[in-house]
Amino acid sequence: MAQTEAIWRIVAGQELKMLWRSRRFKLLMLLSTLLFSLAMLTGWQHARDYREAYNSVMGRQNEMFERQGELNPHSATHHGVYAFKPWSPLSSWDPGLLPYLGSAVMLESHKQNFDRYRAAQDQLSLSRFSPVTLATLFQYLVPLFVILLAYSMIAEERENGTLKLLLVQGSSPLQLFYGKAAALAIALAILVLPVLGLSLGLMAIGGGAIPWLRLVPFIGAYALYWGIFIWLALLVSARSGSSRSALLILLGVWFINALIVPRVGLGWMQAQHPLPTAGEFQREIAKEQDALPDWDARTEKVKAALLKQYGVKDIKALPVNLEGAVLQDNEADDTRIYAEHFARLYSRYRRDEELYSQLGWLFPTVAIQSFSQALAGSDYQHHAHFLSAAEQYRFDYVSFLNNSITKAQGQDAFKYTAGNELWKQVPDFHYNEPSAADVLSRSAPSLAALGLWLLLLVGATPFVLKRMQVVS
Amino acid sequence: MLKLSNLTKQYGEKLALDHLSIEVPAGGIFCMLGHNGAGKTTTVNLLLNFVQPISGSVEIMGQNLHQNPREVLKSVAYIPELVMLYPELNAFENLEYFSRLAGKRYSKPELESHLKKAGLPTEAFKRPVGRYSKGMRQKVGIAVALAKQAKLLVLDEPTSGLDPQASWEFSQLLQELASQGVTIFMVTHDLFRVRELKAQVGILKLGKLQRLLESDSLSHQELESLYLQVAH
Repeated sequence: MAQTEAIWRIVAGQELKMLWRSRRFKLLMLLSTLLFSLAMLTGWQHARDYREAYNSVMGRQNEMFERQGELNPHSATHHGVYAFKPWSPLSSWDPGLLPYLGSAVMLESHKQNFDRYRAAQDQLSLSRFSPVTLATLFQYLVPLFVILLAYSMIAEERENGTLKLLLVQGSSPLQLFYGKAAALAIALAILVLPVLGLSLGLMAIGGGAIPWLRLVPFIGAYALYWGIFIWLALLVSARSGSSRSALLILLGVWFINALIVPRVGLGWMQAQHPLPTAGEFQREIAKEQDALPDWDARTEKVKAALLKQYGVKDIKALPVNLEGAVLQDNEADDTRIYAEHFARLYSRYRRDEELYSQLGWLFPTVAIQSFSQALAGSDYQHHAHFLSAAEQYRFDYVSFLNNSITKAQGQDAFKYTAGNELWKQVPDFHYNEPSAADVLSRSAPSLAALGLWLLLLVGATPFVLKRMQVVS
Repeated sequence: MLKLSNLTKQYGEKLALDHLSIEVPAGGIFCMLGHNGAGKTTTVNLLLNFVQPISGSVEIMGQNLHQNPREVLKSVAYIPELVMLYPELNAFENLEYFSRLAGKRYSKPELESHLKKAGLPTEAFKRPVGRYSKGMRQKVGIAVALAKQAKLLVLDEPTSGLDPQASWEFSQLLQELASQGVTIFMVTHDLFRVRELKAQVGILKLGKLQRLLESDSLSHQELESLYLQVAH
């Protein structure tokens, strides 16, 4: 009985049947299940611990702040409060730079502090090497699995002589290629989809909302990335003289792409644009602060401005507290100096991150790293966004308390005290991370690089296969 | 049915086939003899579009192979000297796969019938072909060719792995197929079978066709001495 069937589907079905029976696939399934489970549980546990710590510390801090009793409001700004970075759900999958960035920043008057409490500081020295996360497995291990499954798929058909029979029986090289690519994609889906499903389940159980607007492009980008390796591996298999040489070429590509470039690229970038040390950075700020007017000179300046503003000749006639206003004026100057220096430092970080992500046009692993971290909210840009929100809050919070002194007209600003009523009025710090649309538009070049890679490989396929040798 | 016209192939400096012209009618059997390196396998590779000629053409059922290879190859089946199959699959699965690629979907009894006709013992049907002898694999290869219901059968040393009984049965099968109108092009060293087949015989030497004759016009001994004389 003759029937017309799509040949690529027949080939795909056959490949899957053989993969399913092969020891290699079973071994890879076992290994990947173990590693994925480990990464998934580690990520889930870390997210749970972080969220618990966040809620507990935030609650305690708020409670302590609101019940600190009678205190001078400016002194309260010196005691400081912490702004904690909330957990971004997808960062359990891709923690990116988070272990090396602080999770909180102390907010106090007169200075903008560096972030502190880096997760990496709490780890054993050994665990600082390659932590097992879903992202590292997706970026390094899955391409390696693809290579190990695909390197022989076409080369071995030629070596064994089955390629001749396949072609005579009616398959074209292109149909054969598509069939094998489809089989690999399905095999990969079998490996990865349960992991994604379980991770989403854990995310939902953990109480966090699933960030679909970030999740869909996140998974889509990984699909493109794995597609690149599927296509590349099959093309190399088709063009190589033997399956062994195909394996060597592909492992070389993987090694350079996954291990060499990210490290060499970062090292090169750091050498090109060295950053100031913490000491240098603080010295520069201190130099500018030293050049600010002293207390007496500032008092004179503020007094003159207030007398003019309120049209009075004596400070006793002012409706506001002069010393409170001087404190706030001083705060504004300090804030400006810190803001300028931090803006310069952050722009250098940002420029380095952008420069690094440009390597993604040449190396897909760099492109997926940049895109994945951006969508997971674990890149530097997200951190800078948090720090900037925290700094804005710091100024507002210090201003709020300084202004409470300013309003206490006729009182000694340094002896004036406020109670719990005032502390309760201080607005809380609420941080919202950048919208998915913003992140997507900023990370579009990395996604475009992945798309372009796949497009180029797909476009080159008919030409490569036209020159494929059938006879070894 | 099969027409090779001035077919020429060169690998680097080496001329592998030199203006080979052959015509085989529908239902005819053509046996190509020659020593190793004479150009027999090159001819098969050209006939199946695995390599491209530098000049000349191959016509199968009136259609130029190199202009529309996929369409033309639909009516061609191939049995190589070493039939390579998927070792982890059994005979059924191999046959089913290759048949589906050829656009044929058979029921299990139909697949069984093709395997039986090719001479494969029933008890071997469900064993992975990785455990088959060379001769058994050859029989699965024959079943694949039979199942394709091709009009032209291209065979490269098809009896080299078969025992005398199987080899005789294979000759009978070829004659039966030829009587049904299937054209057979075979490359072989087996002079005995060639004589048996009542075929057109071409003797190739250094890529050039030296002699063209009818196998039944000579005794086995005459064919052998002529082969040794011409091919050397």
